[in-house]
Amino acid sequence: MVLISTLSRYAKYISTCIDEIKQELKQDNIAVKANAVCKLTYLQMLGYDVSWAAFNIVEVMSSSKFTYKYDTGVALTGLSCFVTPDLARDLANDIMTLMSHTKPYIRKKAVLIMYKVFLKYPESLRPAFPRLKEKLEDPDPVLISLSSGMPNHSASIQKLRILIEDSDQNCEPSVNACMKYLGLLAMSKILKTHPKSVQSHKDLILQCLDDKDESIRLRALDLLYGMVSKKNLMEIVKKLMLHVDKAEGTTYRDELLTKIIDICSQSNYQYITNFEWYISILVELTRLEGTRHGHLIASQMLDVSIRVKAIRGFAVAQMATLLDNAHLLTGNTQRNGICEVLYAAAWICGEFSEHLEDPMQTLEAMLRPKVATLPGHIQAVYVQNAAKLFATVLRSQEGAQDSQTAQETTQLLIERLPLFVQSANLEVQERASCILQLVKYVQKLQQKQVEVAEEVTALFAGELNPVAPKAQKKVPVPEGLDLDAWINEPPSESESEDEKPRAVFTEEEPRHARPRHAEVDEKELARVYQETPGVEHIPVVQIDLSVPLKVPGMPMSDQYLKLEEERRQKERAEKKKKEKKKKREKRGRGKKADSGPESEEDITPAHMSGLGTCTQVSIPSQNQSRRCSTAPQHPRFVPWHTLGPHLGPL
Amino acid sequence: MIKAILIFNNHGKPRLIRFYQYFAEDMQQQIIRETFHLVSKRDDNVCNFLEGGSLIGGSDYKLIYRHYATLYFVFCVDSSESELGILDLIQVFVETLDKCFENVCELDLIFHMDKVHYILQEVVMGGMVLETNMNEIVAQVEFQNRMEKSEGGLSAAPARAVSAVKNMNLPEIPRNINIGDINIKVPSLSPF
Repeated sequence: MVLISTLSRYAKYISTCIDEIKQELKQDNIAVKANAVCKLTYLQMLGYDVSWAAFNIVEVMSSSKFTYKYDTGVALTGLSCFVTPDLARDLANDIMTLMSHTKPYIRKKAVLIMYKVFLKYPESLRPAFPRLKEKLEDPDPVLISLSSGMPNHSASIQKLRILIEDSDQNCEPSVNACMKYLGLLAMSKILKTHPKSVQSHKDLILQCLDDKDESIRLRALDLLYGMVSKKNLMEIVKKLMLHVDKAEGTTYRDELLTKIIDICSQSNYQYITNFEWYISILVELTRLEGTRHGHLIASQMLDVSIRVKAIRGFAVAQMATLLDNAHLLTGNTQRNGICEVLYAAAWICGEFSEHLEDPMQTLEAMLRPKVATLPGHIQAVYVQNAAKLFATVLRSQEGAQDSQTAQETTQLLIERLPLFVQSANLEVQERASCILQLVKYVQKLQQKQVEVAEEVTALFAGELNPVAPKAQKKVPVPEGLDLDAWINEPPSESESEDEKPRAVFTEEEPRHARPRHAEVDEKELARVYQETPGVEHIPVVQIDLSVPLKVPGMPMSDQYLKLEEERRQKERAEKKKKEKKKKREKRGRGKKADSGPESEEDITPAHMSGLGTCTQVSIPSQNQSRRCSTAPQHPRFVPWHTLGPHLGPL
Repeated sequence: MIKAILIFNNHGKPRLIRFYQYFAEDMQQQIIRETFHLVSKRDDNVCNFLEGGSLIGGSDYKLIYRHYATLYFVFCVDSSESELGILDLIQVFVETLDKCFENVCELDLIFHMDKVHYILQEVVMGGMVLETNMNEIVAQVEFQNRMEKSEGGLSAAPARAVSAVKNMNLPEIPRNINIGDINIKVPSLSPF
């Protein structure tokens, strides 16, 4: 009661004040008006709308309260706030004159305002430059200056380390925190130009990750990017996942999420040795509520599933579980929310349906009525991939000579699809109607006891693969086709000369013989496949994976960490035994011996992706052959086989 | 470049706001609210630099703030500004206010808002740092004060005030203000 009355009294008071101000503004006396405008400014700061007084405000501004000498200063100040390109162009000359004004105060302001003018009207820089140069004395000393011209960074890095580590007992804790922050900031600047020199301070950065100050944690996160290696990726990501669990605020959490994915996917997944682990990390990340990066997780899942064939079986199983438990995710239907993951899940299950254990179950999960609450684009994918799954299911059921269940499946689709045909989203509608018609036709054929599975499967035949950016170049130009020839009559010379406008700043493009090469981005990925046609040089690797995929009571990704450590220990032990024999053989073949002191290189990845990691990691072939013969063949994983000649990494 | 300067108290009430980039009024208020929300959560022994908001359009900015008794001074800057430099600038600004107002407190900011704006204009112009030397700033402010006084002269000040009041046409003030027993007679303002 008291609160309401206070608020209403407050509002009443404000409205009385505004009335008073309106009265004051009607006066002739400029001092009164100025006072009123002052009050209005205060009110505006508090959030009240004062746009009705715009004219009065301008009126007061126009009064010559200050002497003319001071006017220039005020004018320049005002100008700096609302300079536009047109104003800048017109006034540039005047301001340049002011730079040579007698009063240093005006000179100073003029120089500063030139910067703003340049931002809005870049052409003014050329004529003003010499005068500006002489006005500018030493630039402000940068308090922590680390120019990349410095040859030896270790000294400055040492100082930075001290800055970050030591907390002066006499100083306030916030000052120490500030120093820490600045030290980390400076380090990240060095990281851009000299990544190696920062790497030795990994332990310090990891420590900073646990700091209670969020800003420091964010800085440390930024630095992590350059500090991961194959060995520590898993434990760093594990640490980050712990933070993700603890983080309350969504911004920090989202930042963590993006960072985890960035670190893992950088350099073409260079640092991932076990893609199953990565998929399980992605699935764990889907447990996050309220994230804005659902699409990021989704695109990662898609990317990995498409490019790492060996992982498809595992990925499909995980995705099927996600689809089954979709009710957990359908609650959050905001754009780019976590429901985007379902997009990826549906597509993966549809495209690689041969790996599904229970396609019927997944098909049923995809067509539940609750799916209609998802965003349109996700529904569309569901519908399309339900059709793909239908093909798989039919094939297995007809193969088992079970026409009864085959017909039941068809009936299921006919019952469930109409809901999507009525969708408000056009894409969903279209796809659902097409597929419904198809299924009805299938039903007719089934009633006539015709075998349809093969034909339905043929609809979805062919693998969708990523295409390399330079793939277009590899397409052979057909005989007799000259891409540089004109398609129509070239315009006559004399005409074109008359009509050419004199463009002042734009370069004249050559009209004849335009070069045909498109500028393709030089991505690191394509580098590997650039000049090598054919795929013989890519070795075949057998997967050694005897780990069960679900360990109850333990976050899935942890067990990979353990397994990885065991595997490395085994590897090291084996290597030591065969060292003597190998040395002789290796020298004889002239191969790269032991690829340097870095134990990084010796770490064999658990899966080979189709990404050319083979050229970056040297795999001692002797180890491989040994592995092939002793390890049991896991029935689920097919040996990774070569991609087609035109296809390469994304 | 400095994108905004916000001064608000421990309850989030704005005492001075200055945006160097255009924002609609409701946007401005939202920015103030969110900044207060972010800054008030901070402990006293963490660093004075805040990142990771989604406020002022884009990601290339951070908040550099200082907490003095009941007031938060927050500068919102982009990456071209030096963090320590801005921290120092806040200190210079506050010290200048102290010099111009004699032991400045929150009330001074409320009642002399225009003067505070003038002082700020001498320090930051259009989002760029103009002057960092406290003595210079104070000298300019005093020059300004002298200008103002010389406009009408010292002796003219009361006269101007009187003429202002004389010409005010406020709605009828009741002759008698009754607050219970006390009966106050309001003298009539006759022109003189």
